[in-house]
Amino acid sequence: MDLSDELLEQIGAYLAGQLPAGEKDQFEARIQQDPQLRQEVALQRELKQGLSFLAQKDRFRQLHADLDKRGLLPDIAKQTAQPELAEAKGKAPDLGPLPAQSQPVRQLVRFGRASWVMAASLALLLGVGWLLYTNRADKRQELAQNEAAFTHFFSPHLKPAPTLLPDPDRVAAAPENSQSGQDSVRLQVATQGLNRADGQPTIQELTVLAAKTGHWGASAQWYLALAYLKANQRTQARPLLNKIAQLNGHPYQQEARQLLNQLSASAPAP
Amino acid sequence: MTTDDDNPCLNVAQGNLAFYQALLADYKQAWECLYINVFRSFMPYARQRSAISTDDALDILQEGMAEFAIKLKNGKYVFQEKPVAAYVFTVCRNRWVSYLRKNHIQKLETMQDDMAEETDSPDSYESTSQAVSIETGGDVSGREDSEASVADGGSIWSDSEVDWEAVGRAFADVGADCQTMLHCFYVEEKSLGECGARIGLQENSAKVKRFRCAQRMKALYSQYKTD
Repeated sequence: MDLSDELLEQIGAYLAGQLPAGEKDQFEARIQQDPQLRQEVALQRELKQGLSFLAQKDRFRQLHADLDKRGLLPDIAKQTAQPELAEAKGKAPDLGPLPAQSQPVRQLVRFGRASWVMAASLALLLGVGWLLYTNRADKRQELAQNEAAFTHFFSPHLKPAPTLLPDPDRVAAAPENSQSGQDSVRLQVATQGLNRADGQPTIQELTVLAAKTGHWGASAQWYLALAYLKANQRTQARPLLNKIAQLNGHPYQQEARQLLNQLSASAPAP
Repeated sequence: MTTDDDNPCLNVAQGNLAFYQALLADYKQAWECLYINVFRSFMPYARQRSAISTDDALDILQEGMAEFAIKLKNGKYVFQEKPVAAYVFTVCRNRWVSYLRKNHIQKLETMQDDMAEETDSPDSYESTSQAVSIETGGDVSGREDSEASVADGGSIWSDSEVDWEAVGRAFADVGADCQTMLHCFYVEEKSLGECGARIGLQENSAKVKRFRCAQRMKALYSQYKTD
C-alpha cells in the first residue's frame, strides 16, 4: 500500500491511542476490511515498537554507565564467584583453632626452622617453574585458539554496502562515491594482507580505515579485530569486538557477538 | 566513595504500590533501584549457568529492562502486589534462554532449577495471550519460592514480529535529521511542530520531512528484514 502523509498521520495517532473513540472505531473497521491497510498498520507498529525498544535499551545502557560510575553496581567477577565460595565454606567450615593441636605445631616451628626455610625455597622454585611451564602451555593454547577463531570468522569477501535510497531533503552535496569506492578497494587489499605472516602493516592500514565513518569504516573495524586476534593481541581485539557487538546496525554485529562468545568460552581458567 | 545516601534503594519498599507508581511516573531513583536489584540477581545467574560473556549478559539484562519498561508503559504489565524486580528477572531469564538457544550455547547444569526453566520457556510465554501467574521470588534472590504476576505473560511483540536488529540497521542509515524526526514521532509521540523545531523546520516543511523519513525508514526496514 502506498503510504500517504495523511495515512501516516492517522496510523500514528491510532497506534499512539490518540484517535477519538468514534474515529478509532471507524479506522478499525477499515483495517478489518482492507488487507493492505492492515499490513501497513502492522508495519508501522513494528517500526514504532522497534524504535521504542531501542530507545529504552539505550536508556538502560546509559543508566548502567551512570550507576557504575557512582560505584553502585557490585563487582560481577566477585558475584559470579559466590557459589564456589559458599560451596567451599560448606565443605570446610571455619571452626577456629583447636587447642589440643597448638603445642606440637609450635615445637615444629622451633626445632625445624632451617628445614622449613629449605622446604619453602624448594616449593618456591617448583612453584615458579610450574607457573612458567603452565604459562607457556596456556600461551600455546591461546595462540591455537586465536588462529582457529580467525580461520573460522575470516572471510575474504566483504559484505556489500547497503543500498541507500536517495535523500531528497539533502541540501549539501552527496557524499563522495569515489571516496567510498577507494575505501572499499583499500579494505579489500588490506584484508588480503591478513594472511601474510607479518600482520603489523595490515593492522596499521586497517586502523586508518577503521577510523572512517560509513559501511567500509565499520567493516574495517571488524577486520582490524580479526587482525589483532591473528597477531595474538586479544587485549586489543576484545574492546573493538565489544564495541561492534553493541552497535545496532553494525554490519558485523552478529559475528562479533559470536566471536566474543567463543573467546569467553575458550578463555583459560584464572 | 559510595555512601548509604547514594543508594537509590534506600527507604524504597519494592513490593508495594508506591514503587510501581514511582516507576509509572518515571522516577529516576525507582528505575535505578530496580536496575540494581535485577543486576544483582540476573548477572551471576546467567554467568554461572552459561559460558556467555559479561557484555552479552548485560545486553540481555538491558533488553529485559527495556521490554519491561514498554510493557509498563502500554499497560501490559499490571502490578499485583508482588516484587517488580522478580518479574523483570523472569523477563531477563527468558531472554537469556532464547539467546542460548539461538547461539547454540549449552546451559551449564548447576542447579535443580534448570528443570523449572525448561517449563518456563519463552515459547510457552509468548504463545499465551491471557493473564498468567509465574513462579518467581519473594525477593529477587529467592525467585523460585513465591510468585509475581504478569498481565499478558507474553512478549511485547504479541501482535507482530519485530525484527529489532533490522530496525536498528535501518535507523542507523536514515541520517541524523531523520533519526531526530522519527524518534520524536514514533517514540515520543510529539506534535509535528515540536518535532520540526528540533531540526529547525517550520511545520509545513516538517510534515514533508517526516513523511519522507518514514518512507525511507520503511523501505530500509523491509529490505533488512528480508536479508
